Amino acid sequence: MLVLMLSLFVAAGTEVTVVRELHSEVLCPSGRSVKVVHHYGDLRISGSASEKAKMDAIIRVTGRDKRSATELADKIDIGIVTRDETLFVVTSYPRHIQPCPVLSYEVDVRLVVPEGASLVAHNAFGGLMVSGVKGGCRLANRFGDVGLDRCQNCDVVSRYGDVWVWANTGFLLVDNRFGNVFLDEVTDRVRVENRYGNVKGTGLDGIVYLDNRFGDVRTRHSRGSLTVANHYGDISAWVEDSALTDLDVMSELGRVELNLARMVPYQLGGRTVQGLIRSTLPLQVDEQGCRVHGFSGHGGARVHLSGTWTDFFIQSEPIENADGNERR
Amino acid sequence: MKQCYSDEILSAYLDHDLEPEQIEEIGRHIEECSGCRSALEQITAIRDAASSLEQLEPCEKTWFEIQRRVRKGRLKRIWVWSGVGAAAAVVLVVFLVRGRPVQVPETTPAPGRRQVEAGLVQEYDDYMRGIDKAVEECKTALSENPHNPRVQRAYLEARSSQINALDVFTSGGD
Amino acid sequence: MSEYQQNPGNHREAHPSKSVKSKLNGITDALNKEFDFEEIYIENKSRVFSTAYRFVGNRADAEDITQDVFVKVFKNMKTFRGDAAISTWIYRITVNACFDFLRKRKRQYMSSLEDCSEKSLVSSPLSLGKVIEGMVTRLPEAYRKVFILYDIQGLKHREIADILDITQGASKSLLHRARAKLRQELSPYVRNRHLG
Repeated sequence: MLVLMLSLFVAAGTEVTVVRELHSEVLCPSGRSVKVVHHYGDLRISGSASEKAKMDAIIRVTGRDKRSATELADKIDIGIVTRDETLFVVTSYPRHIQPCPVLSYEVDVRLVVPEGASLVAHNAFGGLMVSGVKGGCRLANRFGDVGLDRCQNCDVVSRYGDVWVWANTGFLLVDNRFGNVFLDEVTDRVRVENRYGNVKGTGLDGIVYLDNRFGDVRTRHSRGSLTVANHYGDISAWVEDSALTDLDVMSELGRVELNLARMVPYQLGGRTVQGLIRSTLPLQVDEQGCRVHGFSGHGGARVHLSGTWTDFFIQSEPIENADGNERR
Repeated sequence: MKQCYSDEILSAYLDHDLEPEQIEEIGRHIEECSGCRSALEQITAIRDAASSLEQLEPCEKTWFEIQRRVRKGRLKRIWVWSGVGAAAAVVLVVFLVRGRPVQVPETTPAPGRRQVEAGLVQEYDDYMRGIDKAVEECKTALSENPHNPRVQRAYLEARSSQINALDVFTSGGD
Repeated sequence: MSEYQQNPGNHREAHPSKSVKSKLNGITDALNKEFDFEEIYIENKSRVFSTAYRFVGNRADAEDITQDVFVKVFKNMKTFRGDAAISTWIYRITVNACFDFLRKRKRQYMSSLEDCSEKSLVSSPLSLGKVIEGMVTRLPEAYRKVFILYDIQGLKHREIADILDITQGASKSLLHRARAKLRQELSPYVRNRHLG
């Protein structure tokens, strides 16, 4: 293991910031598991074709004086150990740190692992971003955002932060609370359970299930089979791609805006209890405004709506608000 | 024998709406007069038959129609939560949906007040527990890393959420 | 990705802010109103519907009147002062709605007994209650109100006085006259079917 050290001193008023860098590289054959435990700082992990694991870290410590800051920076370590076919990368801070009101420390870690590695990563008080890892990711983060870019088979548990996912394949499970979830071009099997935040999905494909509470859900350019279940919040969904086969919208205590693009076939049916269905399209809405059915063209997406305490607005164009902007 | 009593008087006698002496006098008369006795029996039969008529229930459609009419012209009604987004966290409820959502059967009623209230309490508790936990975690982090800007920001946001949530639910309105 | 990098640890959107406070309160108020209304409906629907049915004599019109009554109740919930029982207030609306309805129709509803002549009554298999139900619709307006509210709905004269804005004495007097009128109308029936 190669470790390089560099110390800088930055004085700001009565505080001094010490920066120390750590670099290391170890063998990590593809298929090995990698487990990373970190907190206080960003953790970025990317997959590569190499069979080595490479770690670069920047430690920043701010203290009352250079001596105490340096002392602490020197004690912060990132251990890289291989045990039972698993590579452990663990950030460790000294147990007893001299109390000081201006004390601050954090470590930003960049880790490159074989793309076929199976990754487990935990972080807190910092972002966690993973890209190009195909061997499966189990990520847990608190007080920071999670980003996933071109990964495969991922399970994310997040609290107090947003989750961003780009071009994931295989399965994707997201359990998020107190934050938003953004999905872009995510395919295959997707299940999102979110609370206290919004969910936005664009270009979803495969079997996708979005379950949200206390926030809004918005989907565009969906393909495959999409189910949206939202509770106490609004849903905005589009049928605009002929590759969308099924759209199930279930809403409770909310409002649903369904946009059916022109020239895209569909078969639609649904009902709401304690709510109203309104449509600007030639659909059959019963007298009570509780049931709707209709179709356009041949085949197309099977759209099923069900709501309780929910109003549905079905239209071919989005409703414009007073500002002329598309409603959120 | 005294003159017979009118139906109105007999009806009043039936309801004890007369002076005690009158009631006594009519009672004596009825014992002797078959015509008045028969009239009283018929009035009693009418009263009893009327009071035994069942209370009727309107059909279920009536309630839906009432709701439709009530909502007509005020489509905004309770859906003012559009835009509340994540902040709505605190307020309502619903059923846990595990797995693919079940289609609402024809006979499933919408959740009533009790269900929604019970859920509201549960959800509010959950939300507050989540925020309280965030505050505690941030406090612990601050005790070991007091000047870390990420920790400070997280703590401030958690605290302000805690205060806002309490404020929203205790103020009862602006 | 840049957004992610710029906002690590950000969960601002996840928490309620002051700006949504009024909205949340609005939701709570609106929901409370909806739920209060639902409760009012559940508690009073059979009173309203039964009363309306006895006034007009058929279900379809009674359903319409029930709707009218509760729509009015919902619209006026805020103005209800609470110095009377809510059921009294709703009865008042119901009685007024029934007579508004009948006036609009400009005819008395005869319901199931519309064709019931006294002859047919004698041989009718209908119970006395059913016969009364039909005959009530023939009573003069003032008699009918009191008879339905007192003998059928079981209200007290004090409540009826409140609802109809009359004295308790007037309520009693109208009731006795109503019963007398009914006995007069129904004597062939009650004599033959009930009292031999």
